[in-house]
Amino acid sequence: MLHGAIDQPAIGGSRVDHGQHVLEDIMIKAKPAIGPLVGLLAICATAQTPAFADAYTDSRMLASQCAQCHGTNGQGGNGIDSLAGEEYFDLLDKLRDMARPGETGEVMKFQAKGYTDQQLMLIALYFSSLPKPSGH
Amino acid sequence: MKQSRIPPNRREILMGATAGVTALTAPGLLRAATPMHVVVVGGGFSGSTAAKYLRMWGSSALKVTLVDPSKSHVSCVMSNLVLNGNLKLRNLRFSHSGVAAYGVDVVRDKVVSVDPATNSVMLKNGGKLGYDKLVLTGGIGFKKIPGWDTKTAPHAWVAGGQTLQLRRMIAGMPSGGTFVQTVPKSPYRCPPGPYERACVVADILKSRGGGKVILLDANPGITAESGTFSRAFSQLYGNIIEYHTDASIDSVAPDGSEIVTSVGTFQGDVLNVLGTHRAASVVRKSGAVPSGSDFAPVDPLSYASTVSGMGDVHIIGDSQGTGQPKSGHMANAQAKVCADAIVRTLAGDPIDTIERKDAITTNSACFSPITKNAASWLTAVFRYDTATGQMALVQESLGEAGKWTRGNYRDMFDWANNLWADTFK
Repeated sequence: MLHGAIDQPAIGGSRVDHGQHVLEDIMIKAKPAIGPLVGLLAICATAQTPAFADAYTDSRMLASQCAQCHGTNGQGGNGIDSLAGEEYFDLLDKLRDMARPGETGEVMKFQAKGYTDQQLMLIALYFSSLPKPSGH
Repeated sequence: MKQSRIPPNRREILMGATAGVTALTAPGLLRAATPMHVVVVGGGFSGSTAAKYLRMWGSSALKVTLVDPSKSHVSCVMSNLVLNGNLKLRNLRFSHSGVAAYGVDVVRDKVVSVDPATNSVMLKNGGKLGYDKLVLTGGIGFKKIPGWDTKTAPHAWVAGGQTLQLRRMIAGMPSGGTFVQTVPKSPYRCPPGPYERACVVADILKSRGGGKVILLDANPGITAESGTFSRAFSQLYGNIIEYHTDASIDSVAPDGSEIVTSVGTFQGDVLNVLGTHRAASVVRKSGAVPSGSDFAPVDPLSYASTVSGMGDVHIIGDSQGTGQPKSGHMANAQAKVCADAIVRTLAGDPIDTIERKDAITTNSACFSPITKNAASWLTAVFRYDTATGQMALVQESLGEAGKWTRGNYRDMFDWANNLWADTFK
């Protein structure tokens, strides 16, 4: 269990905040490539440290800035890609490609340049840990 | 002390939970005798997003009350398309029942005063609401201009009745008539918006065989998407739009026939006055706007007021004074940072960790119709600067479409639909 207010039951019937289950999902979907990170997270979670809860809502807050266009919890819709449940490296590679200097001409090619590489990694990690929207 | 106003019984419970005294499976806030209460004033882009995300992230541990005098919010985003008839006002109307579905209590009333000393707000109907944290929104207010009457010279910069009024006035213009419009001095709501409006109106007049748009800008030049708009003004609408810079308004004729500015007096068939902005009335009356300022100074880690004694009052959206662009998209962005800060603070967690500071960003993306079926776009990302404690534009992220296309016009609807959904649904 995470500590504090972030681990409350979801509310509003079908409006499940999938973001609340990110840790469990990361652990379940552990991939070799991010193994060391997952291991670290697991240790933190076991120890019930507030530090992890902090890092957790940091990523949630950071990733929520994508929702204006990509839907609440990255669920997509209205012709804009969903981000939830996409492969971590697929998301990260796309973000890094768009962040490259000289890439212009689309909204996302400018947006991606607004984040540090560390932020892009956290965004990709967060969305990859969410379940895909139903129907995908 | 951020938590000095939390009643002692709650504080003890919270601290106990954080220290691991209570059962590990029982999150701290659930153990409180009564839930923490956050009152959100205003159900526009910032208030609706804050209320929704407070409930999503704070869940049952937080009681969230949204106070708004209207049943629904009318979106300024896309409202220039009501002027040319592409959209109806009802397409822009969003009921507060959307956020109510997340468990937000919606109170249809008007906040008449805020008392930060007792953490309470007074309602017009005589009621009173106490809060642990208050989120003040309310959009914009206008500074007074001698003679200006919105009945004869509407701003239509708050969508609703004035949008329809301006549409009727434009429809009633004589053939070859003149539309006189101002651009407020920065900062103002929706930086590309006034130029977008001039283009939409010029397009209407063009389709009717011609006319004139006199655009009086209080700024020294085009403030946003200058590449797109300068080309639209000089090429597409070269024989319609007459653009003046450094035009500050001295007075407006009460009958709306004439405007006196620092660059001359102008007459027109329709006068659309976008006056200089300031914080919304409810924010000014709360004491969150110091004398000599037009907007509320806040800490971008939480959007809490930096005015002494007002630390439990957060101001987001167009009334806050961080210098970020004022827009619906940005208001939504700020609301999430604010909601995260409130949830963490009420749980007893710090909001000023290095990790959190490194995760504070906001962004803007917006589309502007240039003709009835082509649009442009503008985008930017802002990041928390640990050195200054302010939000700073990431220069490489600032970009504009550079041309107006039908594809962008289509994308504009995808963007707006998702922004509305993340905010109101």
